[in-house]
Amino acid sequence: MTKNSFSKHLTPLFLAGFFIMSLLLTGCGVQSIPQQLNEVEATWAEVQNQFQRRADLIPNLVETVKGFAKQEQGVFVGVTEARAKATSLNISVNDLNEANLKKIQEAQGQLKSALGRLLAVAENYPALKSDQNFRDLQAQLEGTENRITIARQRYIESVKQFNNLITVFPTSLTNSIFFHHEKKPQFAAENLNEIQKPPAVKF
Amino acid sequence: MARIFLFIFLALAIGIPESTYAELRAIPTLTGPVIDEAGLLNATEASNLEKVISNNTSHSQIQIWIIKSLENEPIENLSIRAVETWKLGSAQRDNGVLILVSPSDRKMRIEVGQGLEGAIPDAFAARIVRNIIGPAFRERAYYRGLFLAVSEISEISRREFESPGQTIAAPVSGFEKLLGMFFIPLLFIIMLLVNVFRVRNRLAGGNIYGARGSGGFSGGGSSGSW
Repeated sequence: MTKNSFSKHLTPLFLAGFFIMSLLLTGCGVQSIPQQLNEVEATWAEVQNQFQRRADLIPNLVETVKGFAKQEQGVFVGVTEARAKATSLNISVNDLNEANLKKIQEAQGQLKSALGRLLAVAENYPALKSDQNFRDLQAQLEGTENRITIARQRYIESVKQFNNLITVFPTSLTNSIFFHHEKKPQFAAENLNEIQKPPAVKF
Repeated sequence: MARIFLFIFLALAIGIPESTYAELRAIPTLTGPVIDEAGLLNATEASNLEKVISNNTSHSQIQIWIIKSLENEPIENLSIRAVETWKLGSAQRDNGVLILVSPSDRKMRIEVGQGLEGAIPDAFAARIVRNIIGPAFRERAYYRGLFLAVSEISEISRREFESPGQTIAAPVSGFEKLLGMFFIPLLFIIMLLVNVFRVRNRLAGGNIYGARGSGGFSGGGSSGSW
């Protein structure tokens, strides 16, 4: 047996081996873990983008309501402060953990309830309620709240998949050998305390 | 082979995740631009609406879906699930629009694709709901309301996409030609090989009656009642 015929037999074997190896690689997370991490980054960027969008609407909204209801100073201050607090928390996906995600959620939750009070004020001013500018801003705000809900859902879904990849065998093995990624934090249900309490009815 | 085992393993380990959403209504297959499950429109009206929509498909893909009842699901939830399934609009323009109507709940929503959010901001969608569709629906003139809304949306998207930018060809040097002849085909073949492994996942995409269907949505639009 010459060396030449040996390599003749070896080449197809090598190719077959290479083919099987690459099949195994695509199934074991070498590709899917970084891909899913990119997905988590993208969905988190979208969440922040929509938070920013809500924050950007607020000055206009406050000005419009002020034009009709100057005396409601307390509400305006509340909204402005909540907005400042919410926009100061800008955290990239790499620094995201349970603790600071909880902080972000609290700040955004406070902003949401402050905005709720602002819109409740409008109920007392019929001229404001029928103002075209105010109605447009209200529609934009509703749209933004809806976008935030969807961005959150997509983040939750992408993190679920990412965490599955890095904790469930066999891709977890790939993670512990090559990537060493940690689990990404999840959003908790919004305002859990308020959900558990029955709503107060006042007459 | 490895993938099949992986799938079996994961299916055993975590269960099939879709089963958790079993209690939500299934999104129907797209049969045409108007799906009227509640029988709100007669045959002539439905085909008229389909005609108006089909005449404007180069600028937007409008879909009308009339349901019997929301079955207690928030309308925003149902409508985003529908557009995520149908992927209305084209991939380059993201120009899908869904008009979802539930007459028994007296609720409706216009869901606007990402590419049209500039032309139809939420406030504008809200005006269509409030000023065009609302008054007509209150008189039970469902066809008129939908027809006016579709015309308005088509007109806005036509203006948005009417003048596609012209591409100017740059002069090509000898080296670039050489690059194009050898290197790029080679790169292409490598990418092709890599992609063979991934294509499977893409095949499970949107279900569309036309050749299109890959538009993105992020929750733009407006809901309202009448």
